Amino acid sequence: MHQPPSLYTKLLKWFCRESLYDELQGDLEEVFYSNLEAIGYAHAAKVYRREVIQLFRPSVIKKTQIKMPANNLLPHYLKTTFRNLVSNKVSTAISLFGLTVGIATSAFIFQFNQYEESYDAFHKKAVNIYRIQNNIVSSTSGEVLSERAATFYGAGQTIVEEINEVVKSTTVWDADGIFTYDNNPIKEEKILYTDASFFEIFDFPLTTGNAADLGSPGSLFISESMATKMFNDQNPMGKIIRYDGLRTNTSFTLEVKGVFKDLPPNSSFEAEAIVPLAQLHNHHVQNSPFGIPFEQYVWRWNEFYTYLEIDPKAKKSAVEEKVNQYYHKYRATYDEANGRHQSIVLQNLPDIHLRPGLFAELSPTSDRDMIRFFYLIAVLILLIAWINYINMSTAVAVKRAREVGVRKVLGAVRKQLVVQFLLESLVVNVIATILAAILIIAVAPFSVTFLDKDIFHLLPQMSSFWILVSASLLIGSLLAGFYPAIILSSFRPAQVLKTSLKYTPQGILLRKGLVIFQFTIASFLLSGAIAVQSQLKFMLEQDPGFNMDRTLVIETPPGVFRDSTYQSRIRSFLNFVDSQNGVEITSTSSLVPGRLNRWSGAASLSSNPDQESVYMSRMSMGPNFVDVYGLDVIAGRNFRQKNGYDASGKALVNTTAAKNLGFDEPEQILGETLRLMPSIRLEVIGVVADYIQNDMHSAIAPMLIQLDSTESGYFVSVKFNGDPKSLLTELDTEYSRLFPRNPFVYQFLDQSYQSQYEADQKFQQIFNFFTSIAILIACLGLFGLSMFMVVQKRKEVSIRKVLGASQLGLVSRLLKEYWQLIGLAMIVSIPVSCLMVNEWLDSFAYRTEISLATFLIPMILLSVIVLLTVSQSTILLINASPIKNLRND
Amino acid sequence: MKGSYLGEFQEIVLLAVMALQGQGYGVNIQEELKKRINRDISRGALHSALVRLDEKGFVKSSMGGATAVRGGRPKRYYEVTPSGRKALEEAQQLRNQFYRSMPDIVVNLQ
Repeated sequence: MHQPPSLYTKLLKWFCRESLYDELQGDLEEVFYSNLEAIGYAHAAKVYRREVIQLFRPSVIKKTQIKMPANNLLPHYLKTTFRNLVSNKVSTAISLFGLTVGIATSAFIFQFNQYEESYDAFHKKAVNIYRIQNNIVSSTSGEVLSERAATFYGAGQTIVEEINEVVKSTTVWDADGIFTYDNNPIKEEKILYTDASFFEIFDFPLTTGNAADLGSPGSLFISESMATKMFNDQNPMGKIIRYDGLRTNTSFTLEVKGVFKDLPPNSSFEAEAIVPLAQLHNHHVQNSPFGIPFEQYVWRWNEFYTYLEIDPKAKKSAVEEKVNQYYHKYRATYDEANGRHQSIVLQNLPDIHLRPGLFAELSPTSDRDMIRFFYLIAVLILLIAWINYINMSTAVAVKRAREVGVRKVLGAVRKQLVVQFLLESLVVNVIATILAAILIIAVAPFSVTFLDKDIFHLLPQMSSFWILVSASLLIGSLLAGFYPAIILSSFRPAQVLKTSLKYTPQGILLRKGLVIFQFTIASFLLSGAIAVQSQLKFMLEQDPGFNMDRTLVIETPPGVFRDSTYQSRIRSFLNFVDSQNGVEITSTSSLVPGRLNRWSGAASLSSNPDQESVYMSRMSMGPNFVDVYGLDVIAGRNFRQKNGYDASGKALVNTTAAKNLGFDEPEQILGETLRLMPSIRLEVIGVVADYIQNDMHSAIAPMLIQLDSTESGYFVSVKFNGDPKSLLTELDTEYSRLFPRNPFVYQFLDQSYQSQYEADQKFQQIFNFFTSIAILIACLGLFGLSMFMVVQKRKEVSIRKVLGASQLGLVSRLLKEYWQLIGLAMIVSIPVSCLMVNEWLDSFAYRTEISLATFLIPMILLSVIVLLTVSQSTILLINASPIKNLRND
Repeated sequence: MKGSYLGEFQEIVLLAVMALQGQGYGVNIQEELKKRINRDISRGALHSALVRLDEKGFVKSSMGGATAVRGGRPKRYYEVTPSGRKALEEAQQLRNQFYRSMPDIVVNLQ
């Protein structure tokens, strides 16, 4: 039998008034047990914990007798605190600035991370919902050939019927299309096909309508904003809409049967419209695109996102095993012939957003490693800021020494002094936190444009953010206040009142240690920033294996708009393009570099049927494609065009494909025949040198290229010379004339290809920003130390000057100490950053090498910054008149 | 008047207590609120509201006997006092006055 989390029960007992404890704990326990029955332990415990935390309020907390001393010194302490803050303006400003920026930055990072981690967690049953991640694994080598976010059409239904622990399942297919109401077409990218369980499993509330209607074909559910966009303020219910599906190549007439609230921004589903999956089902039953009955490919068509709701009491691993068994049962006949099997992983719903790299993911993902790394940066920056405060407050200690002496003489005990200085620290931290909050509010609007998401949008629901801010405030005040408090309160009155202050060597050592620590972090981050920069530069400048200059890509109308006259129309468009001034060469293709490819297939060799088949990315192209993009045909030949096209049944492969099929020399594969399911035979006539189809995060995929002899490709690539402006207007006019219902969509390939690195560029900018903040705060700390050094070295420098030391000699002597600190920091940081940078670079398929500059630049840069930071105090020191400094003692 | 002012949340809690006719305690008041206004109210927030209502004399409470289901812990039952009932009526009247003073507007029903 499960118990409520005992730690929280104890916590409640600790802070709750005794007179209230029984009834409150009783209530919570009652709710816990009824939740346990209904929604399982994990969720019930979560509710219990939240309830306990929310009971922490004045009306419940025990009245503690705060033992106020007879003569309450609190107001007095506050008064002296503010006086001191005001009188040491420079150091106050520096510590406040450091703390404010540090707290604001780390709170910002924290909120960003929380937001990323909040994806899909708002569904009440989130912990019990799993998505099927379908891995394709080679049976012989055990190598994972493909990790897919989607799986077979038949999977969800079969599993819910056959496995008892699976309570419900829902199957989702994503599509785009054009909705037309009242002759007003709206193109929509975010359309989901799904079944009636969708609204039962997920908490997407309906404004109007009945979720059960999603089970019957012909109905349509739209989001609130879509309803406004389409119907303004008319009632959308019952409206008849024409839907041209671009992915299905069909048109349906649908009736609006429901309106759902806009999906929250932290949902991994994006949908403006939801169409019954039955629509797709019926369509395929009636006209199968593969020429075989639909029932025969429900376990072969794998583009469906499948979510299972599992009984809270069931064990995930047991269900996973059963699911794998059923996959084997239904797939064995197809898989064994290909020497592979399906391996299923159940992904918990809230984990989906943080698991990057799955094939055909529904929405852009984040990365758990990156989130963790950001947490690290947040903590490091906060640490730097606190250390900074420690340095600053001990630096001004000299001025406070007399105060401490006088207090002690008047009877203050050490404990009181510690309390006083801790209180000061608390006051400074509170002010800094308030300033940080203001800073965040000021910066928040910019962050929305930069991150393209409003991470503060859900802040009111995220109590963890405020708990963390208060916790860091408390910890920060204690941590940063403790050391200065101990030091300051330790002064001996006789000494500090009689002579000027002497510092212990240990104290100086510790402060230096803290500065070394700060600069270790700073140089670590700086090395990281340089590595990120050089990898990005590498990716942008590396030869991708094709030529992207002066290339225009025009999108052709999607399949649903192609009728029997399409081929003649696209031919006349192509002829028109070719006849234009400044057009060198054009080609159609199903894919252009930089686009994600959904078309794939497993190919094996006719000559060697026992060999494992190779999973290939597929495309079709016109013969000119090779010339438009300057591809190298390194063996065999390109498709022929003169004197008529090649017969169908010919194919090109890329070098990787040849290699994976077992031919180290490209020439060897020529003349081989490839077999693809269901019954395609292709003769390899040539090998194209590898080029990077997508970004350098992933390795080049084996590629199978067929001839696009009917100009049915989705793209027209145009190599032009000169200014494309007039060319574009010409093409636009002709395109609109030939394809009146379609907008003229074009891109310049170099731009669209480079835009794949936008996320990387953003990461680099964020990283640079945080690094600069870390360095800035670290410098403030060093500045504090140098101010302290001025006081410390006053006498030494004066004596040296009297004895005839040169200015240059003095400067180099003083700076030597700082160099030493930086040197030490570098020695500590280099191995760590070397390791981390290497690990990060390994996540790329194509990576740059770590150069010496990664560590040299931080060293030089930090040295220069340090020099600038300490120069003022050094100059102050060596220019001071020795008489003044020596006379006093 | 300030001392007995009834905030919106307190008013709803008071209504829930009244609806439960003296049988209301922490858990079922929470459930009642969830049912009526579809909001998850934490036990802590509810406690604060009940304490305020108690201070104003709008509710009174009594401890029930020990129970077997909840680790033997007793429940505290809440009941609306006559002055609580009066406060509710006043709040409603206040609103009605406002509604009555509103100009007629064309309501576009859909």
